[in-house]
This record gives sequence, C-alpha cells and structure tokens, in this order.
Amino acid sequence: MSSDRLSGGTPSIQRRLTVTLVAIVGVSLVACSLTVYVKFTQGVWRDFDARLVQDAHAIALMVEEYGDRPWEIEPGGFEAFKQMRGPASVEIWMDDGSVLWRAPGSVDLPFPAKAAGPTFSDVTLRDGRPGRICQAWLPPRQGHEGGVHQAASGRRIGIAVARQIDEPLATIAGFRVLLWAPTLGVILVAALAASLSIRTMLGHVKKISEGIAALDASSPGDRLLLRGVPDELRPPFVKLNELLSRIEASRVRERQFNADVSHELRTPLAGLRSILEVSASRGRSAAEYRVTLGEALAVVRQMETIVENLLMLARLGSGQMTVEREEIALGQLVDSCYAPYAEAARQRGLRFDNHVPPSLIVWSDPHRLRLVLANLLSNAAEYTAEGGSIAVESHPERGVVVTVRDSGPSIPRGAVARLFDPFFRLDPSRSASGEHCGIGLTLVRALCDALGYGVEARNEVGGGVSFTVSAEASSIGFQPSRTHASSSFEEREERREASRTVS
Amino acid sequence: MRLLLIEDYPPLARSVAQGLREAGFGVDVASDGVAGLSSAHAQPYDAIVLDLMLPKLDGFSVLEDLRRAQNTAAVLILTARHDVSDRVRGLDLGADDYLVKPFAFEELLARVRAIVRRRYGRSQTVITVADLEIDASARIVRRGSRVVELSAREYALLEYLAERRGHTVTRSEIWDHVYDFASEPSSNVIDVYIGYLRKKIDQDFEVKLIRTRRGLGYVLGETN
Repeated sequence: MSSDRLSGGTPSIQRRLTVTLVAIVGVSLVACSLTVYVKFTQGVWRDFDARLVQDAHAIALMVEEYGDRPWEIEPGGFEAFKQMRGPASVEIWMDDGSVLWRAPGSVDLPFPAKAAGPTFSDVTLRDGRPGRICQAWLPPRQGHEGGVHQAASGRRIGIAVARQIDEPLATIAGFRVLLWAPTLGVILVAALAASLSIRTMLGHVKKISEGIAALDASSPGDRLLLRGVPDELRPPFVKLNELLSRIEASRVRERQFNADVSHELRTPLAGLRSILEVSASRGRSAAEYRVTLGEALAVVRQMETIVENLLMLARLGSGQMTVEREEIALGQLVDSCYAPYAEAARQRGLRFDNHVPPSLIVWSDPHRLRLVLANLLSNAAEYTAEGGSIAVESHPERGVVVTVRDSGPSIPRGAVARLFDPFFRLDPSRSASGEHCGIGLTLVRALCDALGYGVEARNEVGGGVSFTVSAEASSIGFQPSRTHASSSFEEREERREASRTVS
Repeated sequence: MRLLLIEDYPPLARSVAQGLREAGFGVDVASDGVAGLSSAHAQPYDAIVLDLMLPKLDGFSVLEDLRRAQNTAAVLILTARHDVSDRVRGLDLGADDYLVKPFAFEELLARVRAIVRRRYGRSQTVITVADLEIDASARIVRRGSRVVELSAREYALLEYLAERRGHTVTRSEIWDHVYDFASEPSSNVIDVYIGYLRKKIDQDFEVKLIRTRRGLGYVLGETN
C-alpha cells in the first residue's frame, strides 16, 4: 500500500530495477555462454571428423593395388584397425562404383561422391543409432609383386567410414551441464542480490515514510532522522525537513501573533472591566455616569480599531481585498490624512511641511493609500521628538510614491528591519496607548503589498527617520499638465485594467 | 492604608485608582516605571500595584530596584500575559501576589487587602484590640457589642492604628500612611481626628484604648 502511494501507481522500483538488472546480466551471460558452447561444439565435431579422416586414411592403407589384378584387402588388417581405433562401419568402393569390401555388420553406406577432399554427413546406423560418416577418395597402398614395387596407377578408392556419435554427444551434453548450470546460477544469484540490495535501499525509504507517518502534528519540532540513509535518497527528505522547519517557524510566528493579539486586547479589556465594575460598585450621580460611559466608549473605540486593523491585516494576507484605482490628488490626500494629528502635533511643537505639488495626481486606490498615509503620519506625529519637523515628498519620476520624513529620534540599528513586524515596538510598553496598537506598520506593509508598492524605513544621514513608499516609476501617476492632455478615457480605462491585473 | 499604582494605560489607571480610593485606600498613580520608582522611594507605601509592561522602566526592573533598596511595601503584579514564567519571575523578584488582566475589580481589592494584611503580620480580616473589633473587609467597627459609625477618614486612621496596635505611631507615619491627611492643609488635622476617634470609641468606656505618647505620637491598645 505504502509503496503504491509513494510511486503513484507506477510499477515498484524494486521490481523494475530487479528485472532490468537480471535481464542485463542474463542476456550478457547467455550470449557469452552461447559463444563458448558453439565454439566448444564445433571443436568437438572437428576432432570427431579429424578422427574419421584418420580412419579413412588407415583403411586406405589396408587396400593394396596390383595393377590389373583385383585389388586386395590386407587380411587381418581390419581386425588390427578395430583394435586400434574402435568399431566402425566401413565400405570401400572401386572407382567404377563396385563395392570392393564391406566391413562385417556395416550399414549400407552410400557411394561416395567424388570430391576434392573428405565430406561429412550424419547418418542413421544399422542399429538405428545416430552416426556420422566420412567419405573420401584416397590412393591405396602399392602392392609388392615378388619384391617388385608396383607402379602406382593413380586410381583411387572410395572409402566411407561411419561411427556412432554417442561419445561426442555425451561430451557436449556434459559440457552443456557444466556451462549452463553455473550460468543460470549466476543469473539467479544476481537477481537475488539485486533484489536484496534494492530492498535494503528502499527499506530506508520505508523507514523514513514510517518516520513521516509518526510525525506528530502537535510537536512541529520533530525532524526525520537521516542517519544511515544513502546520499542519493537524502535530498527529498532533507527538503522535507527544511519544510518542517519552515512550518515550525511559521507556527511559532502564528502563536506569537495570537499571543500578541490577545495581549493587545486584554489591556483595554482590563481597563473597560475595571471602569464598569468600579462605576457599578455604588450609586453615582448622572454626571459621574456620563464621565464613566465616555471613558468606556473611548476604550471600546480603541478595541474596535485594533480589531478592524487585525481584520484588515487578515484580509490583505489572504488576498481577499480588491484594489480599485483612480486618480488621486496626492497633496490633498496627505493634508487630509494629517489633519487628525495636526492639533496634537502642534502642541508638541512639531512643524509639518507638505512638499507634494498640488497638481500631482497619482493612480492608486484612495482608501488603501489613505490608510498608508494616515499610519505613517500618525507615527511621525507621535514619535518625533518635541520641537521637531515632519516633511512629506513625492517623486513619481524616481519611483517614489511618497516619503514621510521626520527629525527623529533615529531608530536603533537592529530595529529598522523589524519595524514592520506585527506588534513590534521600540518601547515594549507602548501597548494599546491610543492609535498605536503595534500593527500600524504591519498594516502599511500589507497595504503596500496589495497596491504593488514597496515600503522601507531608513535612518537618515544626519539624523531623522524616513519611510518611503516606492513603486515602478511608470505605474505611479502622471502630471495632469502632461498626461491628461494626451490620455483619453479609453487609455485611462486600459491603465485601470492593467493595474487591476497587476494587483 | 496608602497605595501606589504604577500603570501606563490611562483608562485602567484612572478606574483602578478611583475604585481603591472608594475602598478607603490612599492612592498615588504613576504612569511609567521611572516615575513609579521615584514615588516608591520617596514614600513608605503599604502596597504597590505594579503593571509589568511599563514605559521607560519595566515592572520587573522596578521591583528589583525596590527590593534592592530594602523597600518592604507589599507588591501586587498586574500582567496581561498568561506566561507562567512571568509570574514566577515576578514572585521570585519579591512580589507578594499577581493578577492577570483582565481582572475582576473585587478580586484586585481583596488581593490588595490581603497583601496589606500580611504585611502587618495578620492573617485574619478582623483586628481585635481588647474589646474593640475592626472588620477590615466589611469595614465595620465594634466596641463591645455596639457598632461604632465612623467616617471614611476616621476609619482609615483607626485601621492604621490598629494595624500597628501596641506600637507608638508618630504623626508623620500617620501622615504618610493615611493618604487623606496628606491632602489636608491644616497641620493639626491628625490631632483633630484622634479627638473624633476618642469621642466615638473611648468616651463611653472605662478602658481608654487610644493613648497619647507625649512628643512621640499615639498608641492603640496595650504597649508591647
């Protein structure tokens, strides 16, 4: 089951590898053995044929040529032959086709064709057993006539020698066993070894998959043990471990976020409860109740802001928010975003300069951009040291949507990168103190992401802090004097479509 | 009894201070760690209600500093975090109790009363001096079988004398611990209130419980 799941229904690795290995080993071994077998068989038959040829020559020497007289067979010659070379069927022909001599008990052997050399063929012997025959035309021995050596006539006698082939057949059969048994053995052993070693290798996979099955969702710190796992099998499991690490980190972040959220809400909740309980502890005048209710309402509003921000953050994170862009007069938007903080900032002696040209039009989502600006400006208004200054600029041609710059104090070195983290505060106690519940900048970043903008914080050279919202220069906006004249309604619609697809 | 509340979240600080004052405590409020610490060093408070997350100086540091300076005020920690480690750390640093936000105000009040009581070495809520009985939780005073009606200020003074029964209490100690007097411009206000207390507690009885130690102060009950 588990291997099927792993391989997604394709044949198992073990079977495929084993079959392939066995096929390769088998084919090469069989080919090798076949070659050896053929060579050996050929050798055996060559030797057998050579022996038949020798037989033929020995028999030819038994015949004596006597000119015109009938030729003779040396008496007892065949007995000597049989003794020396074993039993054989022999026939001797004259070249006129007449049989000169036939060994007793021999089969009827065919008249030998006249060929240059000896010819060989298989025959069935008289007793029905398979045999092999050698036929050759050879010169006979020269007979002696009264001590006179007869001159050779040049005539030849046809000799056919046939023998049983039991012996070479037995040799070949023996060799076959000798050859094929170990070949098959080797193939079997190879199959077994391959199967075993593959099983061992895959055993690691099985072990790890068991390890994966044993992973406990509630203890994300667990990792797969890779001790003893071969290098080739490691990468997917190393990746899996890396994934586990990332999941763990994200869960830690999530848990921290949840803890932070509950902490954020717990403080105002404690305030609210305390306000109401103390107020209810005794009878009070209407005026006192009014004050109490006002205080309670302020706390509720604050909690509402926190919850709304959290909700927006969640929606932005899940991509549920659509972005609807339109032409926005940025300078005016900056002023209206700063207005709620202006009075408090003035009391703290802060100077505010809006350097955005009144004619500058940007192409963006007014609600999102308003939230971005409101957060950056309220941060600046609250955290800039007394008597300082806040300045807003915009440089679309350089890819800068807006920069909010204040006179400081600077942000500690290590904190700049963490400013946009949820609930990160330079002063950890700044919890729930009014607007700044610790997710303002996180929200700014999420909003910028949704708008396709980048946002970064920087300590300015010579003091002060700047927050810059940036984008691709071409996507930010256009000067009405330049673009409005040339941009038709259709063009703007196109742009609107394009920006929607981007977001 | 005089308390210091160190809490930076204004709605909570205001309401808790009001509630504690209405329960008869003298309450000073500090909204950050540094201010809280300097108040605690300047005044001998009976108890300090201390938030952990404070601007400028966190609650742990305030507590550590207080105990290093041999300040014996009872300390009740307020924390918005559920972490056991925070509470353990707070208690180990010398806090007497803790409370997790949000809390029921009644519980805060009861815990404050308890740590104050323990500070004066008492485990019962009722203080008894001869036939005088002061129920600190119900704020009811009896002499013999008779209930004695006291104003908030008179009660606060009597409660402090009772906590220190058998010991001579100086005027400046009364000044420090019975908060209401500190806001009173008149310099002989303590003597005036001792007079009121005598009228209500001692006048009709043979045994006088409040005695004057000339040049030193007052003592309630038999001297130890």
